[in-house]
Amino acid sequence: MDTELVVRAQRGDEGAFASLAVAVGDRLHAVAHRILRDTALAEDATQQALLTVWRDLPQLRDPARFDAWSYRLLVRACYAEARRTRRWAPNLRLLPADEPMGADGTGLVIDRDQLERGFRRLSMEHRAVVVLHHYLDLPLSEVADTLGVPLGTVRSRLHHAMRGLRAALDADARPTRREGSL
Amino acid sequence: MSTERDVTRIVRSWLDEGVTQLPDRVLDAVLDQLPATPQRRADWLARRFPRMNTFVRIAAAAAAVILVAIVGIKLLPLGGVGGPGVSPTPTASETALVGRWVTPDVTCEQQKATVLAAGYTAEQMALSEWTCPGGTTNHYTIIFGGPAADPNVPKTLVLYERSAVGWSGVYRVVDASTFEAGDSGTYYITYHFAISGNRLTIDMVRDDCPSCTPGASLLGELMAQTAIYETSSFTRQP
Repeated sequence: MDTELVVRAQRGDEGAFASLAVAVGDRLHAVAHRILRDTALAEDATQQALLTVWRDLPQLRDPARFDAWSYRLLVRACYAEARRTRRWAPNLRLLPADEPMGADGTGLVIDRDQLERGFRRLSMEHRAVVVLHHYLDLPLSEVADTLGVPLGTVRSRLHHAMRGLRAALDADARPTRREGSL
Repeated sequence: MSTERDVTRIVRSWLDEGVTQLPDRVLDAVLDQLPATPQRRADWLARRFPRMNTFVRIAAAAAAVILVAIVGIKLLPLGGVGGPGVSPTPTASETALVGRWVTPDVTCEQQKATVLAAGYTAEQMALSEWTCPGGTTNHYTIIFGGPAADPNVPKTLVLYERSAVGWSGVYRVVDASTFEAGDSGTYYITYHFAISGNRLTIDMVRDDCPSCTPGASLLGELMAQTAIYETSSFTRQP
């Protein structure tokens, strides 16, 4: 991230912040969408996170740490969005099939469906660790830094999450294999 | 049965699919709201104290234990009692926090590793003359007091380093994963927390330490917070 842009935005330069928002908006939205698994919620969380970035930017002590800081705000916005939604609607809706098919065809479709279900069973805290590590490719130490939790907690959450996803893949695959053998 | 490598590959592939672009209307909505969204003042930059060694002086006066002082500077009286937003009815979150929570023994090396992993550098440690809270090996106990009969009376929060009081103040629960702590009248530290079974995880997300001077003093405070709360989770004690 261009730290000069961050510093200018910290001083209240709305033009600089607009450039900053354009630069990070897609990435933040992509992360929010993967954590929340809902387009509308992800848009709301990203919007809230960007506004919080603007509001709290003067308090960022080290502009070079903007990325990690903004991810932290985004994850908090996702948590808040999920909490808000949980009050009025069960989280049962699956993603619309608006995404490209994988190269390995039917198997991947099944995997995606299983993963979707398995992922939705995870808490937001577990989802965040999975997305930051496996989507953004952040090392676990950076995930811990971003989330503001101990490294051990991150390891534990990732282990638990991946175990859950693995169980979802394995459990949901069994009926499919039985059906195939009939 | 999927292997661990299979699962990782499938998950990564799955995560790579899907939405990546933020719609323009969302960005426009954000930019439209900027004029109505004032930026928060950088209190940590604005504060000025006449002497840079204030932190050390207060530390020495507050306690015999050297690093207790990093937290102990919060003992400075700020005036006033109570704060806005204290709910008269205890929520489930408040009830969940109330009680005594203890970390296992943590070594100085573990605390130092936590501070470094949080992004602070060895140079910053040297600048702030940071050393491990509580010496070579320590454990922390935090006691969240329950709500008083009078809802306007703040709930107490006490942190012990081994058996010595490291800090005492008040707290209020903001929501199911956030509480704020401070001295009487001011809540200036925000923490996120999560309770899983009998384990409590706390991480500090904001510290507007009113007694800290910019630079070494503030760095020492932030590093101490990181070491104390993020080296280990807390376990509920009977």
